[in-house]
Amino acid sequence: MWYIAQTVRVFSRTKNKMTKISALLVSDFNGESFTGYLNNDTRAPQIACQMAPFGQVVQSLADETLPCWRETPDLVLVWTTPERQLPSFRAAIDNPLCQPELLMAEVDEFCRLIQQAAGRVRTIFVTSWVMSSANRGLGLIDLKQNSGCAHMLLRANLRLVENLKGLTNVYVLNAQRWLELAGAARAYDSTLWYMGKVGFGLDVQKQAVHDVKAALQALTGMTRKLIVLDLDDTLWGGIIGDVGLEGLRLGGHDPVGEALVDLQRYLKALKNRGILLGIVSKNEENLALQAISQHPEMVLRVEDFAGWRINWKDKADNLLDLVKELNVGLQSVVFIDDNPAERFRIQKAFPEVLVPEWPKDKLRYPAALQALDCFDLPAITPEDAARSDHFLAERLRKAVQTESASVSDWLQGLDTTVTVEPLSLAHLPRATQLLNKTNQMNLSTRRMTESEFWAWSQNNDNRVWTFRVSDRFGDAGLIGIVGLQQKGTTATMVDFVLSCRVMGRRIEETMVHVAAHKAKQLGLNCLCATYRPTPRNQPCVEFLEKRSAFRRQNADEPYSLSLDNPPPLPDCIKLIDGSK
Amino acid sequence: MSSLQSARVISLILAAIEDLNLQLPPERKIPVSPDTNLASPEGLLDSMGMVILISCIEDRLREWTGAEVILSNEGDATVLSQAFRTVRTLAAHVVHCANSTRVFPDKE
Repeated sequence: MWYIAQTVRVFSRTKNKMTKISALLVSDFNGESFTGYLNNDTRAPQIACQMAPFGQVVQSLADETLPCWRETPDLVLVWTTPERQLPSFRAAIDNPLCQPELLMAEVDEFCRLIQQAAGRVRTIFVTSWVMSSANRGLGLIDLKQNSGCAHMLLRANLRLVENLKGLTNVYVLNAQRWLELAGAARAYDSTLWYMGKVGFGLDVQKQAVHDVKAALQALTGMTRKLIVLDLDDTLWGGIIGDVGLEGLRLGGHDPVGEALVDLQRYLKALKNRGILLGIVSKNEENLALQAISQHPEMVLRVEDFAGWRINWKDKADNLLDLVKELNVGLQSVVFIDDNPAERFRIQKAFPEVLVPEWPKDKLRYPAALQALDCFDLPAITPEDAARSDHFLAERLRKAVQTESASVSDWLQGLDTTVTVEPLSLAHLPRATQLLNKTNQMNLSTRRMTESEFWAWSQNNDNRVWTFRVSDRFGDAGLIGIVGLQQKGTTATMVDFVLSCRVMGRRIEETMVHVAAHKAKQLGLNCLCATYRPTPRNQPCVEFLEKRSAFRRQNADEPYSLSLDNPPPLPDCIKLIDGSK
Repeated sequence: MSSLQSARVISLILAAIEDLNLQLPPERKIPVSPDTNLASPEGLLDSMGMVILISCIEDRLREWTGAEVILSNEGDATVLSQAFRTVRTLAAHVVHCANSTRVFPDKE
């Protein structure tokens, strides 16, 4: 998915020269308004969307010789309506006593067209089917009868998502949300439809733009990774320094207390899918941590937080300090605080941090959190779920480091095991996620879809290995990738990707050791690496220059390493080769 | 209809033009001014833009008056192309349609 790499790179460099994602809208209604909104939306990543001729969904998806395919788009958006796409659904509207046996076959045929198109483009978004809430169908028995519109719609959508879930570059977007957010009265507009064949109200289309942008942000690695929270009157009601643990409003038979418990539940759900939680609060640390540990209604406990700065210092300083500790970029941070002055301080100091307007009314906190669309992920892996546990383990590691006489003693004491395995289908989602999300220790910052990465790895000249790391404090999971390309007697390291969570624990040296030995086993005599700089992968070049066995004569040349004498395995690492 | 209401109709139309501009490419954006030509030969408003503008104005009128004001004249192209020549002719059309359904609030 070169466009993603390109987009991420260019966005990071300059706001003026943004590479746009090219998109094609395939719809059975006039999508001119929608493409207009999409093209004018200034949020990253920017899109240049064209329209296939509306009403020609089948032709547009099936016939790649049509002019709309002249330049293959990066993204295809397929937005159709059940009454126009599914004849059986249309028949049920016209004659409620019809027998809609063909509905599933029609959905299958539609999915076959999507599958066909999915082979030609990098990503396809398909919207779920919706109908106007003004259509009561068969009323009381609309969900009971097979020919009920609501019944058919549920079945058609379920079949749609089931059919498409195996296609790694196809995502179904939930259009029902857009109608609900726009409101029933504004979801459809008779003037727009009868005079312009515009299928949905303008507010629905604006909501759709939001979700398309959120989805693209997820696919381009722009998902926010860390939520930094205030405590007093944000995570709980009241000021703990004034009212003490017993006086906090949290849970119980109290509307505010219940809302704040719900807020914590939603935060915990985000944490469970890999979003880190942190605290920056002006408070007494002992008192605050005591409340987190001991308040009976706290949903979030100390182990749920990747880190915190609880003191009386400036919040901007504390935030900066925390993100450094957690190795997270400021552009990945969301800052939530009830105090407008603190929000202003952070937004002013760090424009790249997302600082949402936070409602005054605590009852609205849960909805405000749920409305944030910056946490979408293309997949959820076991590593995501365990991410916060990693930081707990990291705190323990650091405690041992403090006690150790030297870094070398500390590394020895970790009992680190690295397991190397060839890329397999089982590891593909996580490996692709790592490839697309990692910015710092990333040699070339290639961004690819699962299918593209798998296809590349299966080429006879290419090899991809994955690396898993565990130590006495826990299992970090799959955290590294090495991709080699063989040409003549030389292996070129195309991908060298390592999660920032384990950087500096000699995993980097282990990966180079493995790459060199694998290349030597293939009968090659040289290992090369071409570093492609981005604004964020400086740690990678620092490693290559200062801590690896790679050398280069001048900056224009790739790094190289002779395989006559490959670099040794670091003595603090136990290596398990799963490919044997 | 008071002059205050006339002024409000003009500002409502200008707000609707801003709405429309959100979906137009830069070269087709419509100047937000009471003196703007819309569907006249010098104007930038095409037939699709007219449909969107009708919807946006009807929406805003509904918010203001709480009632349905139909501007589309059942799609009569002749009437609409005259009504949408300029912002001022459009304002007169809106006032005409609103008066015929007696929807303006008595007092502002």
